[in-house]
Amino acid sequence: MIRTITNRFSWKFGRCLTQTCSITSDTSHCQNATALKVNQPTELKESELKEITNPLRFPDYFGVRNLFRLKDLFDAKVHYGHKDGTLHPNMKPYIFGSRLGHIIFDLDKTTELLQDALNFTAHIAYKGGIILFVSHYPQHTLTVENAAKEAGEYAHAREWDFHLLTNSEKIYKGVTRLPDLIIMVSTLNPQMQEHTAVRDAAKMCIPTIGIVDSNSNPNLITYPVPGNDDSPTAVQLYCNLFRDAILLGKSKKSEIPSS
Amino acid sequence: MASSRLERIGSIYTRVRGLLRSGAMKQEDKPIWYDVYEAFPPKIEPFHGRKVPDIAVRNILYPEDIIRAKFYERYGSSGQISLTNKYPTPCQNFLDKYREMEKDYADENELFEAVVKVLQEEKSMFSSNEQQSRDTSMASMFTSVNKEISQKSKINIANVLSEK
Repeated sequence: MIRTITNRFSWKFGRCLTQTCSITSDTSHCQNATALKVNQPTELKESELKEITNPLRFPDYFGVRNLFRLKDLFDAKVHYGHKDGTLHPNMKPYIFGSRLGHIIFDLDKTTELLQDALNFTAHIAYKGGIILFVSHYPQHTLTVENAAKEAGEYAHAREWDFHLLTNSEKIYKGVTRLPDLIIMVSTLNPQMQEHTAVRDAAKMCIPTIGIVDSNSNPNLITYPVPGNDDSPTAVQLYCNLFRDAILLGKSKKSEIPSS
Repeated sequence: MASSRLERIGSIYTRVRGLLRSGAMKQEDKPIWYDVYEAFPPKIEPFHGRKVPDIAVRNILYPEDIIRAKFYERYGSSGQISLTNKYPTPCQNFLDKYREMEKDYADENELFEAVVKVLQEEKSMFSSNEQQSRDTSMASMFTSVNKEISQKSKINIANVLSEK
């Protein structure tokens, strides 16, 4: 805890320095600028400053770990899986056990993985990447689309057309920029088969974050988050969290002047 | 831009890394996520043919499940239980009372009967059970609606006859 606070402090200090530097360079009075630089109370060089302002050096630069607690996941019914007959063997490491024939997720593991996924999302948003929310459940369409709208990003919560990613230039009739991150609120389509976007994103080298229920395959998902993907409360929680992570990343981006 | 569409070979990271190393993909074409992925790699690499870990799924059981089973065997379930309902179920009420009285009795069956007696005197369990069934059960809702309809239709017929 103390370590993160000191990190934060040094980062903020570094940011102040970069701002003063940019101001002095704008005024173009070389003599004054050098005088100011001499007066600065630190011996940091420019390369060191860049290192300090690099968000990738911090374990939790955007503070996404404070967005939720394990109790929130429990209250949103994230721990409920499907019946144990439908369990996908690759989901076994994320499972706490089976309660009278129903799979229960290990929320400690879910918390860790969800935090990693949120951190990744915030970094992509900070770098100006395009983020696409994907879902194929009609009952979650409004939730997902609203979350994307509030975050200022994109959503595809309707029936997935084949070749949307793999043959985009033909479909959109021009050079297309594909999303830099796909967030899948559920990785299955209503026919209980793997969503086409999972495979296509892997083909096009787009990282995916996916909520994987006990009957989905987590193998191709870059950042799988084991949890309930059917309950409206759980979907609402995921959407809110990813929206907040994106907004955190974007707000940090607007704070720092690009140099 | 060069790319590899073989999603079953390696992960997205290893494929892009190979292209960058060989020079097929230029450094300026490097995807945005590449550096982030390097800094925060996922806990398990997303390979298509990842081996299945052989872990047995354990059953989640509690010692008080025996009491629960006994309770449900005798009184049955009160129907559907809403997960949003914050009040304890009749079974949970029973369990709480059971735990309270556990110290005073040595024999399990005696204890069970004693708890039943106490709760019957309090009538909390059974009245709440009845109330819940009145409030929530589908069958009772249908019967009440049916009654209302039949009453209305009777009144209507009577009115019509009197007017004639």
